[in-house]
Amino acid sequence: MRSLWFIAAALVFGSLWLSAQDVLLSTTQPSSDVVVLTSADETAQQSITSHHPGLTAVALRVEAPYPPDEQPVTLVVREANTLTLVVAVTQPFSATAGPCIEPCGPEAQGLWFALPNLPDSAERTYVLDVSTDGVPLRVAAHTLDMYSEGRLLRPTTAGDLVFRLDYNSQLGAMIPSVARQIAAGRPGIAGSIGWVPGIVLVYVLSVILVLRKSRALFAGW
Amino acid sequence: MSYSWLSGIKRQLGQSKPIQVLLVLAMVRGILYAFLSPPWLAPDEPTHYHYMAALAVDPQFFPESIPVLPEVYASVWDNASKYRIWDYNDWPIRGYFQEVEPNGRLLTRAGGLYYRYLFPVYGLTRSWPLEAQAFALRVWSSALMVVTVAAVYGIARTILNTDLQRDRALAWSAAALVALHPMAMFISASLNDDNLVTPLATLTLLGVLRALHNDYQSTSATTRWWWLLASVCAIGSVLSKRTGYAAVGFVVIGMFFQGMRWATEGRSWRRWIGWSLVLIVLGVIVGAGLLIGFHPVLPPALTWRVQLPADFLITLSNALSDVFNQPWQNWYSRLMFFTLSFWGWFGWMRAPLGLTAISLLRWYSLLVALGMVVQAVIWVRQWRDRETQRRLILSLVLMASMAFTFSLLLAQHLVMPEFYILTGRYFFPALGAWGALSVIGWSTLWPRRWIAFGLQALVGLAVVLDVYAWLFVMIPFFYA
Repeated sequence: MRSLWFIAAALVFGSLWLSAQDVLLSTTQPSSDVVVLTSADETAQQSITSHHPGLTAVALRVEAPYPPDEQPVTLVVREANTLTLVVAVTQPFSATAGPCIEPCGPEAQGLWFALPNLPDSAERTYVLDVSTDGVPLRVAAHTLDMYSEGRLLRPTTAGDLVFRLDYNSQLGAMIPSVARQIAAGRPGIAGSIGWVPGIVLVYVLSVILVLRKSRALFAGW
Repeated sequence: MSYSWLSGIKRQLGQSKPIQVLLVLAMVRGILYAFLSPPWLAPDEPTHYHYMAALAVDPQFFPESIPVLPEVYASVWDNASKYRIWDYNDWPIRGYFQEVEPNGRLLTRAGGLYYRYLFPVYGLTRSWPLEAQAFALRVWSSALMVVTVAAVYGIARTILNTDLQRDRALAWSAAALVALHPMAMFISASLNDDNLVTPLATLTLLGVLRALHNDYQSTSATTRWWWLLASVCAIGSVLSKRTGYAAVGFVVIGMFFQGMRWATEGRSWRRWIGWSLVLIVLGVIVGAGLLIGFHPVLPPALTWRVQLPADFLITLSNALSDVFNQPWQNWYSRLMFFTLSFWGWFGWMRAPLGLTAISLLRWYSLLVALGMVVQAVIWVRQWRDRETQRRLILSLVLMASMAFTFSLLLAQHLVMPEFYILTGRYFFPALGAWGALSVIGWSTLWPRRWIAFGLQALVGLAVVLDVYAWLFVMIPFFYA
């Protein structure tokens, strides 16, 4: 009976955390061997697939020489299929400084755009469009196709930009999204998303059982 | 009805022994880890699958070579591409990892025993989609970890054999440490021929230890059966993978200690056998040294089955003479990678545990090694006590087994520099020795009244490490 109360209390307490949110997952393409020059006329366009809800930031890696601090840099996010504008962010270059995507050389830094949180970004394909007005921006990229869920659309001389997508959604929305991905391709009942929390629950119960059973071993010496 | 069913389970669980629930946990972890890694994203999984499928076409025991199956190979890599194997590994070139010739043939790996273990599940799931079949094979493979955990408990219980609660708790903690090991489970829950070597080598060590233990207890009735178990498992281990030679080393080490004991304590005929055993083992060691020193080119017929070049002794000899010329930083970073790949470096060794975790684990390794040395010194000082003598000798067997396993993987690293790191999973044949000695070393570091707390803390930390590994390293890496 006592253990039932314990489990009930844990479920109630745990459910409070379903509304918690933080950047727990990030999609990254870190490899580079070339830079792509972007300006007002020559934008860099990369298609990406967002796997989770709550796409909240896009980061790129840029290399020196950098544009002046006050020069505006723009990121436009569009739906890939319809090219509908999702969001556009323009900031002075100095305001975009953020953590550099590793492996980051001495002559490189992060270019970071905070987006208004996109709660319905799960399994959507977007096109990122980076441009600047003035001194061209040198955005790190790789000549080969390093990221199979999108590609560099412009310029066509390279395969993919270096980028990172941050997701920040409530745990209650993130857990089913991750579970759906984990269950993909599994046979029978293991292919349903309920299997994931199920096996994790069995794991937790097994650990509790192990710890409880071990108590007798360690008591009284 | 459901009430009685549930209460039946509850009663069963209530009556189960601590080691039994640990075995259940090992099984559950196996399924969890098999589930959390996307298909083909454990080291060399597509190649292992293809090898198994090719061996299944003509499953004779020692084939000279086996035909490649280009269609299977291509379909596995197609499937791996669907699961973004290129992205996860930062491989720039799309296409098949290693093109196979339509009429090509593969060298056989030892006896392919691991793949034969997979055959029943492979046969039952042939109509399944590839990724679903891989999942079933992974779960079947992970069941081997249960054998390993049980054998580790047996090893620890052989050394710590009294009915004292302390000995039982120490042995259980050793098994728990292995049952909760992140990298051992990650590899175990993937398609990899290392997976059969680990349980068989651990059983070999158990057999050797039980045989030596019986000799100390003067209960010789089952001794020969333990030696038989050790020998059969050592052969099975070699038939699984080259790293399985560690198990042969365990038997030789056991024979040496048995010989030493008989040579100094046995009756006259036993003394004679004892000295013979000691001399044979010393002869083997000197012979190995001479082989490396004079490094003849061995006949390819002798080396191809273990996939070593005929001139590997020359390479090893040159590398050994160069070992001390290398800057110490090289060895520091090699040991760092060894620690990393022993504890947790997931995917195709792309998703490591965090640096803080590795740093803490390094300190843990140093501390338990120190604790084990202290314990050995304490035992040496109480040498006259027969029970202490037994514990010390059995622990020395475990230490020698660990050293031998490490030297094998070091030799492989030196002979084949393309293995750019000291691969931690090649140390898993000594997992049983590592688990038992770790716990003994750890318990020595605590004041007597605090040992129980120390062991509980160790198991608690192992749980934390496990949860950290799959929740905060594997899931963000695989599913972002």
